[in-house]
Amino acid sequence: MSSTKIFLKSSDDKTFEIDETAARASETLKNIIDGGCLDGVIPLPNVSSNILPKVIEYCKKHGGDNGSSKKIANGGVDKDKEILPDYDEEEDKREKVRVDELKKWEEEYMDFDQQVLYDLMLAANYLHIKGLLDLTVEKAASMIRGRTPDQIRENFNINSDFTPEEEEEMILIEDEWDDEWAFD
Amino acid sequence: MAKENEENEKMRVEESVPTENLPEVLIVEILSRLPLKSLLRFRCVCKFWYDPAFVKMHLSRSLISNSNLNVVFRNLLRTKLNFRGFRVSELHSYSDDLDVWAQQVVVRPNHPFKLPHYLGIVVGSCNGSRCLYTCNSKKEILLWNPSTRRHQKLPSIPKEIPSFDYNVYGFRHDPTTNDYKIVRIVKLRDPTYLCFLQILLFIGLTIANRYPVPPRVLSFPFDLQDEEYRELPLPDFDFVKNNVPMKLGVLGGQLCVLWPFLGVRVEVWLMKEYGVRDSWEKQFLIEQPWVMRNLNSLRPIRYSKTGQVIFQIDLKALVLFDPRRGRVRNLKVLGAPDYLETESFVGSLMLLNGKDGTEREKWKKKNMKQRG
Repeated sequence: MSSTKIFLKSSDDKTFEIDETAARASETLKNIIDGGCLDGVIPLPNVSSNILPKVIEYCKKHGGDNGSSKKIANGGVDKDKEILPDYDEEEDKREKVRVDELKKWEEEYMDFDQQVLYDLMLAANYLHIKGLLDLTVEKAASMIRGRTPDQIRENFNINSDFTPEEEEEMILIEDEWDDEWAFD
Repeated sequence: MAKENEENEKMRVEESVPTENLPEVLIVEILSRLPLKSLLRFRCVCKFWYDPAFVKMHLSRSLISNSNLNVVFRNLLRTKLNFRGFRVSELHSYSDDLDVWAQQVVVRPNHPFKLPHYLGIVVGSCNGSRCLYTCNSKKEILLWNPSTRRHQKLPSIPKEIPSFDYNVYGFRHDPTTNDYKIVRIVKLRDPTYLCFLQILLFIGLTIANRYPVPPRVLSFPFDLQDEEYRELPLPDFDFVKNNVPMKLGVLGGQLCVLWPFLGVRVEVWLMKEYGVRDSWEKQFLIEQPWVMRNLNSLRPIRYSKTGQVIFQIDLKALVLFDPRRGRVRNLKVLGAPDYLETESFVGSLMLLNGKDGTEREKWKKKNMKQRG
């Protein structure tokens, strides 16, 4: 299927090309396209030229399906589908291969440092690309899981507003939690 | 797991430049995917993370992304070694891979009750994590947030009736008054054995109102918001008219009815929009004979991340039902009690007044002395 080309301009005035079908993975771009305000180039003042290609790469891969390898449980089964369709072993295998392939792609795609991760997250948020936002947020969460509060503050540029006494008290409770594990 | 640690290490080394400020909404988004233990550790990052607005945002994000799956187990078996009633498990897996599930380790927080020997009842949870329990021995009612390990006790309410017996049946948060409404059914001990329904206000601390108990609770559920019995429209089918016994539950925030159909299958219906008759939808069928046999004890717990349904069967087992394939599989959770009652909740940063486990410290010391 041939598709109209769309041009995106990054914050530092570089222009990138993307298929319309791919661009529709972004809610924001989709609305601009559907709104008919397409005037040659879409300026994206919040996305720089080192992030935009990454975003385009994601959109190309997902070309409008707007999802990630994880199916988001949205309160149950697909309404349009028959209740309990005949279980198709073959299709299930194909589905598994597809998901595995996508997971592998995501893994390679997500191989970058933290600054890029946050920039990409901001871009995904700005462009409303749900799948990409989920992907980056999950990655960020998995990275900070084991960190200390100090590292978290540094990470998110947050200043502690607890008094040393208050903080001490909170740490005590946490120690007790750890103690609990050991005690059992 | 090892890979993850390696990754963490890598990130720590690389992390020389502090990142640009992420907007609040994205920080909330990230925090909503964290397990309880991390949330607990990050409590002391800054006070703003406990701002009611932030807590609310975090909670609603967790609900939307269906993350932060946690389950609290109530151990029904009381032995010398296993005295504590509640255990919390983080069913936080990102997949429905049964191997991953089996590795889920149960965390045992200090329960908020003062005495280790007690029987508690899980009344339910609302607003995500706020679970309410009652304690039979002292008849205490508490709100408990296992994520932050804080609880709040309902102060004793002046007894207006000299002797009564009661059971607590449910509660909800009333956003207009920012209070919790608790429903209990009171039975008089005098010769009349009169039953009536009572509403307690948690913060307002009053026994608000009394209502007679209706003959058919399902058809006329009690609306806690308006404190009125409302007629509940049921789907218009033969088995409703024929009064086939059924089970009620809640699944994914929607009212759920399990109908046994001619003893061969269970039909699971959901009321997509509360109070709207046309919104009843048959969601799926379960046809496994052993599920059928245990129908009376079948209780929906919640959806897993990929849309499978966790059921509890017979106080013994958790099962995972795949609606797409119609299959039921056993769900093993490491360290879960043998006889259990399960309640799901969403991890929340909500702080309540009382610190958990403060009394237990004393008990622990005493116990150690006895052992030694």
